[in-house]
Amino acid sequence: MSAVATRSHGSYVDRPSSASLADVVALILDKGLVIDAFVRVSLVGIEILTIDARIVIASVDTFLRFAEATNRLDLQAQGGKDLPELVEGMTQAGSRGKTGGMLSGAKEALIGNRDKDDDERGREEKGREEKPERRTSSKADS
Amino acid sequence: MTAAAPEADKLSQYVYGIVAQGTSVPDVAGVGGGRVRLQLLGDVAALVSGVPDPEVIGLPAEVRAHAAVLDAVAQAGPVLPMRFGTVVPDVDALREALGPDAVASYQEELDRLGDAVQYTLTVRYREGAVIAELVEEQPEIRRLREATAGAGPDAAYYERIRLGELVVHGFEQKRVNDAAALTDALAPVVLELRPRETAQVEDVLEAAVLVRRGEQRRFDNTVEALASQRVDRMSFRLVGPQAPYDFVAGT
Repeated sequence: MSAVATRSHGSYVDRPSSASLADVVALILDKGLVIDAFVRVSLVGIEILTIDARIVIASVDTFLRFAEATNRLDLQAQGGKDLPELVEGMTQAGSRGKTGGMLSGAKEALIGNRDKDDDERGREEKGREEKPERRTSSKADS
Repeated sequence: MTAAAPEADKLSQYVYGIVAQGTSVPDVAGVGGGRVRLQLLGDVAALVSGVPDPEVIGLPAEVRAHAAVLDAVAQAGPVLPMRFGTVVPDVDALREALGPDAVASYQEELDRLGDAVQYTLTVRYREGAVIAELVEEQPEIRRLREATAGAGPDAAYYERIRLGELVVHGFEQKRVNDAAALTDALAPVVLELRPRETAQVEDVLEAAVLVRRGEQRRFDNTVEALASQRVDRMSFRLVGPQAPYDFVAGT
């Protein structure tokens, strides 16, 4: 993936120079022209990603997570200065809370760990070809 | 354009997409490391590379290679992405599968999308900011927040569920107007905008947008302005330019 516009300084928009694996999968899966009878690929580790994440929203876990976030909220901090930074910190702290697994929804949960690794590796080994796979706890990797 | 090596012809061919004749092939490794080349098909050409073992396509590196090839081509000119995982047994099978009718419709499609690139825009709420609004706006949320404050993990279980439900519902209500406002504001600078189904509570809008090549800067500036106006409540993420995955026929 590429991003032509790199106005990273002083920009309010996050323009990732390389998209995450989750981004790419969401982008290309089930899209594009089809030649009859010739899409016959075994989508190793990808099929599972198509599970619809919507069911997560209306779950008790989601409700409890948002109740916790609402309880934790420091309303005074919300009214103070440097709001975006504070909020960002809070959101991130929230997503590492004890209900962490549900926080980013099914899609991310399913490939979350692998994807983070993938991104970090991308930064560390930029330009190198990716290894086909490496061992993580996710089933999607097999 | 490069001539096919004789061995490459015998391999199964991974098909990335359809381009105009004479499109230059970027120096990007293909699926499984294969060398990407053009295969002429009448008035158009297919971007292909040999794959020795088509049974295992689907690994993350292959997903990335598919997108990397298409996006690199899309920087310079029109390309119609094929469905990920399209493999034909050999070059002849590709010629057979894509007769004159298919080629003519691809040509039309290339003309239609030729002047445009895709971007993916993701806008999400800043959770804390929106929850603060909801606490302020909805007395019942405020009441439940106080009632459940300091309660242990097992206490006030149903109140906490009710509180969370109201907050989640509050996000959904806000999303309707906020997403519509964004869509309206983007309308003058995009050819087309296709929202994707939102999956998360914090999602405001996730959309594939088609932007005219000559208007990329204007589009970018518009997104920047929208983000700066909403920085307290929302975060913006823009990926692209990309191949027009969401806009080819049959998608």
